[in-house]
Amino acid sequence: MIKNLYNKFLNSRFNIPILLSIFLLVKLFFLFKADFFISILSDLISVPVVILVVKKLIDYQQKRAFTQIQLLFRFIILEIIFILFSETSLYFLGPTLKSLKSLVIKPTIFIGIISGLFSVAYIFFISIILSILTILFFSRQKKTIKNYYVITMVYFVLSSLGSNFEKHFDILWIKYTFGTLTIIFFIILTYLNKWVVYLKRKDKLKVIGLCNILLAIIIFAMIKSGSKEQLEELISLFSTSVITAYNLIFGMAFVYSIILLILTFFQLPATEVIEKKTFEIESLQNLSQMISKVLDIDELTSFITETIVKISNSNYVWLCLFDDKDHCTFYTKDKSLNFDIEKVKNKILNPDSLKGEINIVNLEAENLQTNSNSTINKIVYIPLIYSKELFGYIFIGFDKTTQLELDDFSTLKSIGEYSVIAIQNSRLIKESIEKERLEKELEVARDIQKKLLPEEPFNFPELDIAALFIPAFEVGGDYYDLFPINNDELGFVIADVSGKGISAAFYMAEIKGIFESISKIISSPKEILIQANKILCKSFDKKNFVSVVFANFNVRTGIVKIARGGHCPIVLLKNGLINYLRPSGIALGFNCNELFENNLEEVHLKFDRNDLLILYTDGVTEARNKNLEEFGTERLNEILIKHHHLSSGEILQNLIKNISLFSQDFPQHDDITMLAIKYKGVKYE
Amino acid sequence: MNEFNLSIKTQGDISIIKLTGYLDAHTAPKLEEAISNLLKESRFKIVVNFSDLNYISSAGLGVFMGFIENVRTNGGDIKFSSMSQKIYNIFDLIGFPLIYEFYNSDEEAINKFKSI
Repeated sequence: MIKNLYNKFLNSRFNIPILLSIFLLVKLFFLFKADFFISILSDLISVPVVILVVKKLIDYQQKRAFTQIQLLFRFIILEIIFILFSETSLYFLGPTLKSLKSLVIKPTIFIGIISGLFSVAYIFFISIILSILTILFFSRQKKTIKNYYVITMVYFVLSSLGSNFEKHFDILWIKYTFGTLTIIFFIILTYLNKWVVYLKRKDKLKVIGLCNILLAIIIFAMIKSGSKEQLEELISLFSTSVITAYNLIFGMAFVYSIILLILTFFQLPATEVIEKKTFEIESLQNLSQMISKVLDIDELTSFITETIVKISNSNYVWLCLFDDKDHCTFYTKDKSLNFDIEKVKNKILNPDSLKGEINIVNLEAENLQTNSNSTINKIVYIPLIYSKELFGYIFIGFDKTTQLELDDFSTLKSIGEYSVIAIQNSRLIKESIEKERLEKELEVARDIQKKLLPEEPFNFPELDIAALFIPAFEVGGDYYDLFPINNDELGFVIADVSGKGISAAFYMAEIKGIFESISKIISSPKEILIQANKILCKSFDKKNFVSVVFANFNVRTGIVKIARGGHCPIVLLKNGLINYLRPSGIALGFNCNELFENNLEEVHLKFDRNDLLILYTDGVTEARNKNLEEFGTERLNEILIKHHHLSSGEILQNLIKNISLFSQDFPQHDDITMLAIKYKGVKYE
Repeated sequence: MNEFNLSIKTQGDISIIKLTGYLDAHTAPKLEEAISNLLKESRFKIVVNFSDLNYISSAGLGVFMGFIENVRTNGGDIKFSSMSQKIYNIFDLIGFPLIYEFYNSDEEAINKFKSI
């Protein structure tokens, strides 16, 4: 209940006016018969007024986020205004105050009101100064100074109230003891001031200037204290505490400006060092942030060189990243700068540079002339090393006048280390993106290839057809297809496109389209290949070609017409006897004139029941094992002869089993494709 | 694993490229670069020695096809020498012997160049 009321009161907008009016009313009411207890009680009411006002002012000023210098400036303005206010009011009240001596003994209501108004003005002035000092004390403060602050303020209040003892009992020591204690603790507080340290040189000079002005004003006010006495007497009629507090505040302001002046003055020489260190730390922080943000090497290198330019105060910064052992790409802010690495190369080739040690080269005679007419006579270089491999250098050129200190080196060294991480990070990410892109590409290629191949089963009652296709990780460009031409004829093709990956997959798609359309119009395999070659010659790159076998199987007559364009031999098995056919013919896309046509042969074979035709790509015979031996035609022969009596599917299964037994877990480098066609003879309906 | 290397010797206006190891889709660009560098220097008479080549893929074969037209229109040629039977079979299947000349040794190929 009480707590609620208290909180309400604290948050109320009228708390200050209410307290103030209570204070004034009590004072005015007891103005003529104020004894010790009444005056000390009424003064006590002014304490919360001051606290509340100070609190309000602090909140206001912190919301506006004044800088310390702005606050100091306000401090000065306030002092001036107040001194002007006191002086002018003295001027106008002069005549009245002259007769004050008599009035003090027998005061009137009029004097009481004037005295009260002055007290209120003083209370506000004290509050504003206190609020500014409080903000200054707590700004940039890491250590807790709260205890010192509270003690100072308590002594401040005690000393002010103590003046009542002086007035009523002539006891001086209470006021002076607490007053001295206030000043002592205030000095400690002031000494603990931190914010000056963080100021830039320019701002520190401003602080010194402001402190001087402040001191001048305070001293002026002290000299003028003669005329002030009258005002003090007027106010002390109302409340002696206000006067004591006012004097204390003046003392504090004086102490504060003197100590601040001295502190700032002595910190001035160290400012540059602090500024430089702060800048270096900020630069390193920025650089470390860049590591994860910037992946573009040009952007990264320009950021690194810019950072070094700022830190080293040298305009000549180059970053060299090796392309190979002898050449490097230079990155520099000023592109017009020509830097001959050969000139310094011999000098930097020492064992230290491989340890990543920063070092300095004096160029002596062969000074580098820059276009701004200054001469670089020494170069600091930072080797960039990642996992024991030197991949570049940072060079910083200095002219004769520059003296380099040890701690400059240590900062540059850390920049070098950050640069290594940043550059390597950008490279690794680029690589992994590239790798991912390639894998995606291969995935697309594999997908295309899979979609281009026909789906089993192949429904020809006269033929037992089986196909086997094992793609390599990098799509190899193998392709096979079957084209039913009419009820009796079936066209089939096996092909191998040169190259790998996505380009092979696209050529494959083109070939499928060509064969599918031509085989509908032309039945002769030779003619089909001639036409296909003509079309491919237009679209193929010079270095691309396709090896192919095209066959036309007449299931009714058992006649198979076959043409081979640069492909692996055609295997024929008759009664367990194996025969390799190599009708002449060159690969498609290989020659675009008559040479192709003139050399292309078409053979006609007569198939009997259970005769077997095997078509394969070189992925079969060139399958390798870990000793890099090839599977070869002899092993192929052996297996085909051994299993020729089985079904096409079973034969291919046996073959693939043997190939995988042969190559074990050695990676397959090319697609493996096989087509087995067994003639079952004509079914008589 | 699949290492590939090449070295180039010159004899007058004839360049002899010796290939070693495995020439496939990954190593073919190396040979492509070497030949295109020769052409840039207007060296159009080229002998390729295959004696130490273990394997050639279709991409490897494609390299020669890519250059032959340019080389021949500039009065040069690419001649092959010292090929093992295994490698020759691959060239033969595709149809290379119809377009390219094959010799048993570099000397034979060089002499052929000189005799013109």
